[in-house]
Amino acid sequence: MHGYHASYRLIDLADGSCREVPLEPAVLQNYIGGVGLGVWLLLKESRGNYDALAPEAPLVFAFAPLVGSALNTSAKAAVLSKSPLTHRLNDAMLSSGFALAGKASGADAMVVKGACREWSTLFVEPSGTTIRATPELEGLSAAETETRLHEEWGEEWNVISIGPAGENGIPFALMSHDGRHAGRGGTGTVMGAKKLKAVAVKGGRPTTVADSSALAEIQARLQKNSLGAATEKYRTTGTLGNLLVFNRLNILPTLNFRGKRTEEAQGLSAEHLFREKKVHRATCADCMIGCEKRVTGPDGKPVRMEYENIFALGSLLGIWDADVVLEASQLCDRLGLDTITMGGTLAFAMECVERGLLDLPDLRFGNGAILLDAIRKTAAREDYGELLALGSRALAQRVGGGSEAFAAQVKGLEMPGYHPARLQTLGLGFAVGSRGADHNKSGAYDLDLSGRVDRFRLDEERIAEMVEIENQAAIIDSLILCKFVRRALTDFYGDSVEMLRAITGFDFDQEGLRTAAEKIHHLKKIFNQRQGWRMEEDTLPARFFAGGEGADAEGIDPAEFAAARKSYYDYRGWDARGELRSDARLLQRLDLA
Amino acid sequence: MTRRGAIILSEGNRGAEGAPPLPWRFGEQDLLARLVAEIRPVLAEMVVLAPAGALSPLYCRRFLEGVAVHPLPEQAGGGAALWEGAGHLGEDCGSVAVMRADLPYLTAGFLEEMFAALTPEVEGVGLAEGSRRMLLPAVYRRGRLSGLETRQPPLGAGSEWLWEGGRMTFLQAEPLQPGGPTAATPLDNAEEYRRALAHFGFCDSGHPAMTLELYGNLRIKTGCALLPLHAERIETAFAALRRIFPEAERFLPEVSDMGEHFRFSVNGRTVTTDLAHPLSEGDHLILFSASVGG
Repeated sequence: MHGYHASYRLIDLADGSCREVPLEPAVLQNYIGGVGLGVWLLLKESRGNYDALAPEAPLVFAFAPLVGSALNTSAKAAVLSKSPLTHRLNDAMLSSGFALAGKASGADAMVVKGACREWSTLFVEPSGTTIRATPELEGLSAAETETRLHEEWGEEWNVISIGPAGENGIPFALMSHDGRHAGRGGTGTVMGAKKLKAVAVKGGRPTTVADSSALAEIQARLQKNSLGAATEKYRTTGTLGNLLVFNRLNILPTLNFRGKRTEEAQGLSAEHLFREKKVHRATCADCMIGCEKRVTGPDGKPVRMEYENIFALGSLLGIWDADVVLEASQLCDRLGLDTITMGGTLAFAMECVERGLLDLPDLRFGNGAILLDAIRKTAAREDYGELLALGSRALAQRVGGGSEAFAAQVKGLEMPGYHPARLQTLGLGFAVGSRGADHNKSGAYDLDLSGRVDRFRLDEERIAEMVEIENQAAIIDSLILCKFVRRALTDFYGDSVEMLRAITGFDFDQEGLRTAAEKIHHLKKIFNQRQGWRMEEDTLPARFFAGGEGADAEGIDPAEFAAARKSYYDYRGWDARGELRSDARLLQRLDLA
Repeated sequence: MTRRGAIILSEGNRGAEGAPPLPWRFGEQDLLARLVAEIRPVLAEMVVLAPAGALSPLYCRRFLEGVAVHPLPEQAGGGAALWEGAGHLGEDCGSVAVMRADLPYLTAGFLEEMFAALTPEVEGVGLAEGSRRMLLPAVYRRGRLSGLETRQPPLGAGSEWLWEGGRMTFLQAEPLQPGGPTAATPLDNAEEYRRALAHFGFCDSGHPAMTLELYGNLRIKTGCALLPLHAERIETAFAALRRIFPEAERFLPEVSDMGEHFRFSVNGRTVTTDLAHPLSEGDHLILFSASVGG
């Protein structure tokens, strides 16, 4: 079979076994790979409502047909599990060499279950898997872990690992590879619960391509478009370029989503950083866009910076000193903490302090001096860090006093740097997202800023386009391609079909891809329903609705929201409560019977 | 080789939205870097005096190699910048130039002509902060003010000052082109700038006065945050942008493709891709990339 190995590895850390399980062509055609294949595997390998950190909880690494092909910007893998933070589906993306090596290690996916007795590293290569006890790696950062494993076992291994936060069970710990992260929802926590410090993969068994010359033609076209106007912003300022213009458009969240546009934003902007700091461009493996920007921190070391870091650890906390934010970001990376959740939880805590709901006087907006201490204590579960380690939703439940109204999260996942009351289609996208508040899975900011809709309203007419954008995001995460290259595709479905056919030889077509997107969303819904999801979760905190306490003058109209949400459920083929009745016929259609 | 030469960078006004003071643009590079490159070889020693924070360490490393950069003490407004700075340099200083550290308004073409006109005639460029800045291409001729013993240089429209060998001289500007305007054209605010642009055909004074806000790579590369223009619709504003900053062509698609890769917001609330969208007096047109993923 071209483009696929037609199997996945089922690895049990408890007994060290590894089984190759065949994958039917129908499953691969229906779900493609990446997130699509990953959520199907998660459903197949789990039962009912389970504890995200139990040994039997599956951790899925899913690869895809485009990964390892000649197509640039495809070096990514999907990492899926039940999130210990949200207790719902968590589907993260991870970039660079690990994805390429993982695909070439001889399987389309790895499903890891069980737990090791002591801190260990899982080695995966074409000939099989080995689990080695590596207690000496405990306490090291992900970067240090990679270095040590390279020193001992060789640089040909691509390593993904966790830092101290994952070891300590912080529910928003991440896993990292070469400085890039599967960042949100506690992927690193799941690894830590398995006492799995690292996974090292080595390639050597690449897949084949059905039509090399067709692929070469597509690659030449994609490469040319990838270097044009469609990606110019990512190649030059990267996502850092969002901050100042978002501030100008009043989209930039400040002071726990309360503040408005401010002159101080200049201090964290790309325009300022490019002038005042050394900024280097970096790329993932096989990428020519180079969206990554490494900014030299106060200690002279480069720190990978992007918009979400400077928002979450900067504007959201009222901290405008670039050096402070760089240091904080570096620390989160070293400890293995999701910066968005860290920042979101801190912002929530700061507002609690302001309102007298928490007695932590140093934890106030604008106080950069406390930031590093708070991050360290969170990762170590020390002192007030034990509270911050809960995440904002659980902390709000602990604090009470109506604080849930201003914990800026959905399903427990803290909001990224887009104000949902000023980009209301995205706000709905946050609410109904299977993962929680996730701008990448939704992508509806494109619609809000397209000029075709009023971003300060919600109407049912826009839902079809909102669903279409979500579907394309799911397809991209299943192919896998980097989302930053999507504007370089002149005809999304046409180009995607062309790529898949050239690589796999399968008779993919546009209608089939649309159906795949629909099915992927059904699978996500089924998984969440099994974990206890209810419609009441598909909402936003009261702060973002008009008339709520402390709400924006431009808050979301609750009636518009309800109508738009219902319309979304209709488009998805779910009932009025957003539920999908998974009868036998549907399960068969979804290859889950 | 002559003696010490110096450039004094005076503070100037900061632009709105926190746009930092940036050295003057001058074609493909800024005027300060160009002056240093041209004048440095003929001086025994070159000094730049700049207010704290006006020149970033990165800028100094890239463009001011071999030049001693010293902080300029906090200064009063007006021509005191020249006096204060010159006092620090001492009487053995050969020639001194004083420049505004900001100036989002000047255009490359004017400065190019000015510089070309100046360099054969004088040892240094003298433009005192607080005096009217020269917009028009002009030839500077030497003159002398007698009895200059006062601590403050006199200010006057149409004249520029040069510190030479411990004495102040002033330069009387004359128009380069016969028949051109003889009075110095001031550029102290957006309205004056718009008038100058209209005079030189960059935009049409009959159109509404508005401001184009640049972000991201465009701002970084042009050094311009706010561009006061006359434009009656979005397309006209972009056409003016391209004429004023021809180097920005590299970062901009064809006008007809602008709507695909950029978004336009008028006054920060609505968003459009319609190049024919009308503009009104006082509007702020915000230009930003359509790629807003984070």
